Amino acid sequence: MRGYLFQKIMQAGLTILIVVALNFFLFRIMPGDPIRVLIRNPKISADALERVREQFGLNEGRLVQFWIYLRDLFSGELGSSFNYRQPVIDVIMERVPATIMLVGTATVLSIIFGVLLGVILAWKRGTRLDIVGLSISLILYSMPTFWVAIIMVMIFAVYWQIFPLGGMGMPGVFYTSLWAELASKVGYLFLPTVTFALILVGEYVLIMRSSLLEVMREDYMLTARAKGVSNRDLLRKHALPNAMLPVVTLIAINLGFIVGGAIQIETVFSWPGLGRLMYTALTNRDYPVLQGLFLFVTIAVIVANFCADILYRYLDPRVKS
Amino acid sequence: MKRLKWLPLLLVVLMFCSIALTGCGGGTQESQYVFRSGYMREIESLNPMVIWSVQAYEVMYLTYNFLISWDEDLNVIPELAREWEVDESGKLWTFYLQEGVTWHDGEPFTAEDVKFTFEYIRDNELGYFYDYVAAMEEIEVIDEYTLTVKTDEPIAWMPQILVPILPAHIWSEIDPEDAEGEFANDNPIGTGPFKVVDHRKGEYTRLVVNEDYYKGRPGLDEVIFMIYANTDLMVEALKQGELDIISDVPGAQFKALQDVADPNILTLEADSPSFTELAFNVWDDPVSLGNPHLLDKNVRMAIEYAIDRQELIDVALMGYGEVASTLVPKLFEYWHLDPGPGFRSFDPVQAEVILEEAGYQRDDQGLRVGPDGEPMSYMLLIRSESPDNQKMASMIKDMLASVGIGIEISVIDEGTLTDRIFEGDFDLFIWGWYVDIDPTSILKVATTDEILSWSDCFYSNPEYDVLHQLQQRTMDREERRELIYEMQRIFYNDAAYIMLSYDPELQAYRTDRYTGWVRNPRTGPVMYTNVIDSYEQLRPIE
Repeated sequence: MRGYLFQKIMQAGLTILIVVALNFFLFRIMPGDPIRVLIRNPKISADALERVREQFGLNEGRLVQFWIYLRDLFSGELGSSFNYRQPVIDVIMERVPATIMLVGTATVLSIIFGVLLGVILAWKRGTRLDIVGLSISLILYSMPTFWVAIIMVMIFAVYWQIFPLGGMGMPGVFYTSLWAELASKVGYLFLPTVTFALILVGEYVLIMRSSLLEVMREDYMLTARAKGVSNRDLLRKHALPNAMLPVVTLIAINLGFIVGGAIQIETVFSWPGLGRLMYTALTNRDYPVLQGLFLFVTIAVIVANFCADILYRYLDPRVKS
Repeated sequence: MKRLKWLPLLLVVLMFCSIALTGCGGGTQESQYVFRSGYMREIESLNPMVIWSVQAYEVMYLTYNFLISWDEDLNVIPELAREWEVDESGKLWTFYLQEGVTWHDGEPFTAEDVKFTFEYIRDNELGYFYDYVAAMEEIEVIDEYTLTVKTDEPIAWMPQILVPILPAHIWSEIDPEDAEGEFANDNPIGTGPFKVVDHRKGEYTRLVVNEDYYKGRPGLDEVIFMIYANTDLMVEALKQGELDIISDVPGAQFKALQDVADPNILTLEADSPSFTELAFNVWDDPVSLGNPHLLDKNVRMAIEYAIDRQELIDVALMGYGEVASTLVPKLFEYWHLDPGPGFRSFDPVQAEVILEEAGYQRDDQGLRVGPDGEPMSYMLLIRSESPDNQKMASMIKDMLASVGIGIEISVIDEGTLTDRIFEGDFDLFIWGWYVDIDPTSILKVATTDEILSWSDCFYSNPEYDVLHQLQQRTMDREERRELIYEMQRIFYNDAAYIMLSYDPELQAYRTDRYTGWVRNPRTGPVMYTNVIDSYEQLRPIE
């Protein structure tokens, strides 16, 4: 176990390092001098220009800059945002809670419902329920994210007006009780979360269903049934652990990507999360923030996959050897 | 495992409980008069030394005061300076300051603060403000509420010093390098009518009223700038009463708002200080990468004749705009020059005549070829940020094709375009300017000194430069206006820009909650204007 863990950690570390290097040079080979964004005032004197270059470390050579970047990275220093003039780490951390709240809730919801529905559909395969469920999942899976989001806003926030239009809350409003405040927060969270969960759930249903169907065709399932194992135990003890493997992989991959992938949802609902930060940073050529965000997403993907690898050992006896 | 089975169910139940609660809508109250304004662009910082967007400036205007302000006719009126005078040389200014003004933290405001602000910005060459204080030779505090400013030469735009007055007791502690760097200024201390209490970059910026505001407490208790990522959502928020104003409504949504005609929403198409221009690369220098045809004034004038501006405005801007002519927008009535009969309005025949006479003949494909044997084919650079400009570009391409000029359109982002302009690596581009109240800064853009600085068309005309020097030093307003008229005439005649449109500010605001909206200038918008009259004078409708 220890050897396996060590190997996986090393792999993860190496991947991160490669991505860090790629990130760094990717932004440097893009056309244009970031100093123009940094100083929108062309009237600046040569002295002042040099000062700013120095301040942002733009006066050194590429390799030296990379070395400084690496050194700073290890001490948790990600540089300073060109646009906000704030430490990148602060800029990113300010948005993390909003994204985690949205993406986290949506992921948990979609996993629970996705797996549950997938199991039911597989178990009732061929029935009308299966056909209807499968069609709905396929439709959900193939719908464009922004379109669903806009439709949700139109129905629930414009016509019926039972949910707020967007944002995370209404600043300047006072709540008479903690409960009322909590309820309001959930109200703002509801539409974007449900939309995101709807987008994600189809995929989980489909994967779970087909994976379970495959397992149920295995010989050992027949053997178990012959031994007189009850339907419940058949599903829980024999089928599910094996059928969960592809789903865990999918969750791991998704978890990493959806951190940055909520751009469309965040834009439609004006949700102040990481996706929008990424978009704003891109339009403002805010390289340090982009670099920081890419690093953040990379780490999220790698950590999620690392966790999945570890989880396999518990789910899949074959990995243990 | 057994317990876990109930978890999803529990979650669902919890969720529905919460929804039921929100649905009831009870439990919230808005005890105060909160004014909400919707923005599409984030307020990048609260530190005046690093901000650049109109939105961030708006917050600055609410937080800080200036020495002077403007009335609806753009006359200079007192703000922190209660009175001022200039000696006969035109170089020594004496400012008499308001007494009894306090900073947001309770400290008294004095002449020392003004002196500190000007010197701090001058000595450290900070931000956009440096231009306003660069000529100040000596600043002297006479007494607590009086100070003199000596400039190296008479300056015509004085006393319009567009510099926010900073508290010396706070900013003297701040390293100038930080002032342009990571100093966030999250709780800006100014003398303005509102003070920032909560600044969440992608979400909102919340300001509460300054109870001790020296002009009297405003009628609003709070001003909140809400950041939206989606225009339709923002407009819907205005309709549902969550917002009180949208200061910058895109044309399509504005039209929709006008069509619906909600009695409580007023749509205002106001004159604004901004214009859109088609700029030529007229850099007469070997390092210029522009097409040499464009150095020929005839070509530029022919292009102007060939473009139907009204059509561009009607189609690309949905009719929101006015055919433009000279550098100073119509909003600034006093300074704006109407070229009159000399105006090159749409006349494609005239365009063809000019080109023929100048030796640009059509080849067998109908494309014209210059006297140098090169085809009249130019690259037009467009900002990816502006869909309106992109529409304009494809229309211009068609209009020019009909007179035998080929245009290739390239859509790039603002940053890249800025780089290309600085390197002189372009033929034509479409962009715009937002003009200061005093015309000096926009006129200065076209002077020779500004090449490789603010100038974006590399225009150079010694006569124009001389006039610019002169108008800056001419203290008599009428006399100065003649010079400024002449400058606009010269620049127009040389056609380095084709002024496409004077762009309106499209604003929509609710009239059922607050009253007291002020348009300043008279034909201008109610917000976004270097003045904050509306914020100061709005009061709730009981």
